[in-house]
Order: sequence, then C-alpha cells, then structure tokens
Amino acid sequence: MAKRLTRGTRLDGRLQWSFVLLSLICLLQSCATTRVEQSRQTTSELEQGEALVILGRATYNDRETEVSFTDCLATSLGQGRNPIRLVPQTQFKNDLYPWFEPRTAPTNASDLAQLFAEAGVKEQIERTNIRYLAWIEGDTVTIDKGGSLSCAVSTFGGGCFGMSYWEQDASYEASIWDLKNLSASGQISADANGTSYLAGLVLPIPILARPGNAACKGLAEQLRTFVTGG
Amino acid sequence: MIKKYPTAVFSAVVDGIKLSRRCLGVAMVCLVILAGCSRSVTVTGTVPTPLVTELPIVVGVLVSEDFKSYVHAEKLPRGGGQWQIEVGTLQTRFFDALLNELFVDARWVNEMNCDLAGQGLGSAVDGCPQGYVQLELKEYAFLMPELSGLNFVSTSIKYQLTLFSDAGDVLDSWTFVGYGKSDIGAFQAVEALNNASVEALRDAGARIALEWPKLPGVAAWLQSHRGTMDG
Repeated sequence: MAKRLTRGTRLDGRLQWSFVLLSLICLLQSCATTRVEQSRQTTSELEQGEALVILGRATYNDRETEVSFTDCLATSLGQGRNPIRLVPQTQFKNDLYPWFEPRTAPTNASDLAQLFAEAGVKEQIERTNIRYLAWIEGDTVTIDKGGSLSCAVSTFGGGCFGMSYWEQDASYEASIWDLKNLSASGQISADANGTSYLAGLVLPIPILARPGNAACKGLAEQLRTFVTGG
Repeated sequence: MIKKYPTAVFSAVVDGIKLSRRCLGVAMVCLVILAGCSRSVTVTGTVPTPLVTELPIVVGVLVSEDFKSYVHAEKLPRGGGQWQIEVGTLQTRFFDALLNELFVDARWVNEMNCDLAGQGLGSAVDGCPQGYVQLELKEYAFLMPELSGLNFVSTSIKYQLTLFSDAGDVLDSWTFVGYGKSDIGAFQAVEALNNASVEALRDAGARIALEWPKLPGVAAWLQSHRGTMDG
C-alpha cells in the first residue's frame, strides 16, 4: 500500500529542496582574469624575524585603497606556505604617529632618509624589526553594467525577473620599500577583470566574479615571492 | 515521481515567499522609522603617543569646559536624521597626550594667573609656565554619502591655537583644520563617522606637532626661550 504523504512530510521535503537549491546558488561563481607584473630593483630578502608592513595609500579624493583589500592581503600573507610576519597597519601608524598620516606620510622612497632623521623613528622601526613597507594603491571600479532586473512583492506572492550584469576592473600596485637600505626595492602590479551576473528566476541568483579578491590573491602570492625569494 | 520535483521546488519557493512577506513588511516599517530617528555617536579611539622632538618649554594649556564636553548636533536634510556627535572626551585626552609629548611639561590651567613670587605676571619665576597655549574648537562638520554622492564619510574639525606669553600677551594665533574620511559599508554609518572623526583629530594633532612650531611667531618665541635656556 502506497504511503500517503502528510502535510508535515511535504513541508519538510520542500524545505530540503530549498536548502539544496540555495546551496548550489552560493557555489556558482563567474570567472575573473588576473595579470600580475613585477619590477625588481634590489635582490635583498626578508631575514629571520624581520617583518613586513602593508599600508593602504590614503588620499583626500574619492578614490583610495579599500581597507578590505589591505586586510585581504594581510590575511593571505600571514597564512599558507611560508607565512610572513606582519605588523598591523593600525599598530604601525600608532607607533609612528604623526609620520604616516595621510597628510604626512612619505610619498617617495627618497624621503625615507629624512624621515629616519626625525627623533625616535629609526629606534621605533628597529624595535619592531620591520624590514619592508608595501604601499598599496588602486581600487576596484565598475566599468560597465547593463541588463534589467525587477523584483516585486504583492498579496499574491512575489519574485524577481530579468537579468543584469556588471563588469568590474580591479587594478592595484604595491611599491615595496626597504627600510634597512632606505630605498625602493620594486613594484608589483595586479590587474583583474570579471563580469558578474544577477539572474532573476523568482529568486535573485547571483553569479559573482569577484575581481578584487582575485587581484588580492595574485598580488599576495607575488609579494610573498618577492620578499622571501621563494 | 520525477515530474513532481520541479513542482515541489516551485511550491517550496512560493511558500517561502509568503512566509517572508510578513517579515519583509515589518522590516520595511522598521527601516522607515530608523531613517528619521536621531543617532548619537560618542567618538572613541586609540590615543597614540607622538614621536616628536620635545620642546624644552613649560606651557599652560587653556581650554574651556565646552571644549572638554563638546557635542555637535545637526539635523541632516533629505531625511538624514538627527545626529549628535560627542568629541569632547576623546579630543581632550588626545591633545593632553600630544601637548605633553610636544613640551617638556604641559599643565592644564583655568587662567593665566601664575604669580608665585608676587611680582606680577610675566616675571620669570620657577614653577610658572613660560607661556600659555589656548585651544578652541571652532567648527565641526561632517558629510554623509547620502548628501555627497560618494562612498565615504568625511569630517573636518576647525581649531584655533593661540600662543600667549607668560605675561598674557598674544604672540600668535593659528586657525587650522583637521580632515578625516572613512569608507562606509552597509548599515555602518556610525562606525564610519567615528573613524572619520578620529582621523580628523589625528590630522589636527599632526599639524600641531609638525607645522605649529615653524610658524613665525611661535618660532621666534621658542628661539627666545632656547636662548635663555642656553644662557
């Protein structure tokens, strides 16, 4: 005799399918293409116990490096094979206040000698054994978008219908300064591009490219290779 | 059996939407109410110890009670809500730390009345400040993304720093602005405003530490005392 499904059993089944569908949606990702380039001026590398500081270049206009990007770099460099000892950006700025504020920070490696002549700066950097500064500049911008997606809710129900897309370009550059030799060590640039989609099939289904994340991973790996030589 | 699965999925989705309709309605009402509410921010942050060359001068620091408990109140247009931003506490701690590192001794005083030897103000008496600095907050301003169209919160704080001799004569008066900005995420307006205010304070402090001693009137006063110290 066939088993008759009860209302409770039908509801549990529907919830299970909804969960499976949402999980599959979360796994969908669009692609991002990344290009990383490096220019090296010195061959020195991090020695045992030496540290790296990642600083986002702050400006007073509307374009500046996102804190989330420098945090992503710090997370990537502090993990994985060959983790690097990092001094947090906030701690570094507090320890060397007021010399690395947006208004006062050196803009060129040639300014390091003058900075180190200021009272207490050299001693503080030696105390924390910081070897390299990595200035990160750049941002992620939306360069194209289109399509149409509309969502509506009514007494009879609701949902989203349509398709929209947006293309983002993430372009970042790291300038590495050697604080032991008071000179520029090199530059690394990372460019990533990707198109994200949002499809409306009753529920909005995002298919995200995340070029910022791709640029972060590419830049972090190249930076790790740059400062450790491996 | 197989034909039932798409139907089951669709039914589950529609049931889910019906269930969330009530929640969505409540959420929308809450958002409308919150948009017109007042928000209060007490600016908090780390007070760094500055790395600056210490000036071998003893100064008296004059600030008003309003400075120590300064609250900026503003109602933003276009439904931006009422904002109350308390910066007095942090800025008092901040400038106390800064001035105590900038000078060999910075004493917070209520008035310029040090006359320990009974010989009148201006007498070079040990124990009295060699000069006074008065710090006033002239204007606090902030700009939210809803008004600027940008994706960050910016603040500016205008101060006036006046240098007096030990006899109470005005030697220099300098008006300057500290500026700060902070990216804003979803539902993070208060945190972004706090961060931008802290950055504005730090900028103002950096200007005092690095630019103020080079002002002509201040430099001349410092030089005169250096000459006295050197004999």
